[in-house]
Amino acid sequence: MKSRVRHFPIQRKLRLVVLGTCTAALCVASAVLFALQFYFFQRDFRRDLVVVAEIVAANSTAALSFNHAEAAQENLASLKAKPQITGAALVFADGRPLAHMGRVTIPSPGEAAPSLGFHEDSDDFVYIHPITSEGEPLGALYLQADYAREASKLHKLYASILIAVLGVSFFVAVLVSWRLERLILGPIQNLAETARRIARENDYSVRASKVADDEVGSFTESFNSMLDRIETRDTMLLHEIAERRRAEEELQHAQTELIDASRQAGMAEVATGVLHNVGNVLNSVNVSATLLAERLDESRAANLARAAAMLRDHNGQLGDFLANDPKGRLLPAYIADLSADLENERREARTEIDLLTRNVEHIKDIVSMQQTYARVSGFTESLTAAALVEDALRLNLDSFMRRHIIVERNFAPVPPVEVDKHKALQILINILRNAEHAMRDADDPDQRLNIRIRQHDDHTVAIDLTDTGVGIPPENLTRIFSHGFTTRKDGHGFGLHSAALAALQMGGRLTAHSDGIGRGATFSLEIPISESPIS
Amino acid sequence: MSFCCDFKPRPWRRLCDALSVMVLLVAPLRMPAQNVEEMREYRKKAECLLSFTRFIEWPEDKLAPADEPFFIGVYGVDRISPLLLEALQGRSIKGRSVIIRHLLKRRDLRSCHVLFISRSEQDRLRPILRAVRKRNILTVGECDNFLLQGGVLSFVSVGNAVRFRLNPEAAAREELAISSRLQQLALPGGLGLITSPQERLPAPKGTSQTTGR
Repeated sequence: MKSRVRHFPIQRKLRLVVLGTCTAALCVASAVLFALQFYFFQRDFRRDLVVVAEIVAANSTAALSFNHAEAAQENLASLKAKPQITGAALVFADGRPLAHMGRVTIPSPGEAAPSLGFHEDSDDFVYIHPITSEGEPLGALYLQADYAREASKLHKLYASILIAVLGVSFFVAVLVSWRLERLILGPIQNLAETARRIARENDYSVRASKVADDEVGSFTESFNSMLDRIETRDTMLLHEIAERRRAEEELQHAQTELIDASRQAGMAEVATGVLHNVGNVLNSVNVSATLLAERLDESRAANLARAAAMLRDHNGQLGDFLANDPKGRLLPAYIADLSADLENERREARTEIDLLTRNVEHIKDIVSMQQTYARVSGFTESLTAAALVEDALRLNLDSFMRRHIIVERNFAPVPPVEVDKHKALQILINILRNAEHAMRDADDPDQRLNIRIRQHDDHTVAIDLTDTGVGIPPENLTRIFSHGFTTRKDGHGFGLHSAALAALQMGGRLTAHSDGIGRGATFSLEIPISESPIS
Repeated sequence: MSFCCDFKPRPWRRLCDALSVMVLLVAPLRMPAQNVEEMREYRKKAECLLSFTRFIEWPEDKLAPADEPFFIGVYGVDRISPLLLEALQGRSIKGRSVIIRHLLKRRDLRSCHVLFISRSEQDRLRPILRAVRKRNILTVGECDNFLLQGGVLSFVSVGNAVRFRLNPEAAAREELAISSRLQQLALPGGLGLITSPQERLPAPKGTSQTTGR
């Protein structure tokens, strides 16, 4: 019931409230009035009886005193004017009746007289009033009144009045509530209609009209101001969306630009890498070239020319010259010595030139690698780790030898690896050069580089390069692979960075370890094991 | 006034009492046949006489001083005194003790509050009533001409019942306030004319004198 009422429209609820309140108030008021009326009725009924009895009793003193039945009867007859009094009797003090009227019960002579005052005899009231004269009891007046009949008459009257009043009040309440509910409902319905319209048409420019300065009025104001805010926010939102779209476009543009820039930056990085590697190799080239030049400067080829001129001067008497002339006698031996020397020189030059050629070849490779750098997976080949290490070592052998660095090889038999040879070489050369620098900076003249090849796990082979150089402080360990990080004055912080990148590109990993400053460092290059046999 | 006399000394009163007792003793012997009827009549009259005092107010002078007894005198042949005593049953009247005295001499008349004049004095009514005139005495008689002679109340026998008539002028003269209730019960035609009780008209309420009972 309660929940059903809860879902009623406000109009019905309001009407229910008004009518319910009215009815309740009326019922309470009627009940109170009823109760009061009954109370007063009963009180007045008794009071009336007492008053009547007092009058009749006072008038009957003489009749009782003089035993005057006629006068007594006359006095009692006057009670007929009171319809509720059905009977009356005048009785002497000794119980003898003097006169009676109507239906009244009096005790028969000899029977004990009932006490004075009110007695209820089924539906009737019996009132016994004493009659005295000068303080002496003369007798009593019995009055019998039909209370029930009078009361029921009154009940009926009041019940009909109540029903009539309730009916009329209800009707009036309906009328008044009808009029008044508009006062409350009008603004609410107006609000509701506005809200519905907003919901239906999505039009936030609609405003509810404020009718009065009451709660609904202030609610309407709040509602309107809320609508104002919503509208403002709506506009702002639209504006913001447009702004955001523009920003997005800008962002996209910026991104494109950024991509371009990064591509250029990447290219620059590649170029830096290339230049760096080329620089490394050029170092070797330079060394080889210098060595070759020194060799040529020291060459005894000119002495051969002098010997040749000596021979030409003694043309015709060459036998004599060779046999007799002290110089001539030395000449053949000298020539033999010279030719051996030249031969030696040629061999050395040849070696140097080979190295030079290899270096130049490497440079060529590096440069050509730049053209394929963008490829996610470069050209890979199946190689042995030892060959890779040897190649790298060879490229750095000169500088190592010059620094008197002892290279220890500790190669375990491992499966071939699948790598981009140039990337791998580049990584190893970088590490070797770093090691060389680290050991050059260390004070200890007895420097050694330990190169270890081992199988790391089922899929990778690790090459550990352990030097006895200056080592790496722990705070730098995490940074050494960052771009731009270097501890060298002439370094640009690119080598290890690109090496680590290259290792990742090959599907491998480059890690560094050091026990601290002065305790050397170990770089480990992990590279994947090849699935196919060596090409 | 020749009848004028004040209270009698005690020895005299005792003599009176003794005489009345003698009368009482002698009476039944004298009239045995009438006696029963007469006794009943006088008993009623005695009761009425005492009842009259309830509905009649005497002037204050007559009742002062406060400790004086209420004096009921009986003049003439006294058949009522013992019955009065019997009806009184030791009660008081107007808050006073009651003395009932059979008066043999007119001198004693004036001190009474109530004076019952018996039938035997029918012919001597005028001088007796004149003697007690304006003495604030309730004179009660039983002769037909009692009211005409200036008496206040007179008993009338109506069949078996004892009724009474009232002389309002006399009551006024004696400054006795008679309750309307008593007046209502009085038979009409107060001045000696005998009318039947059926013709009696009840006095309208409120028109008569009221008493300060």
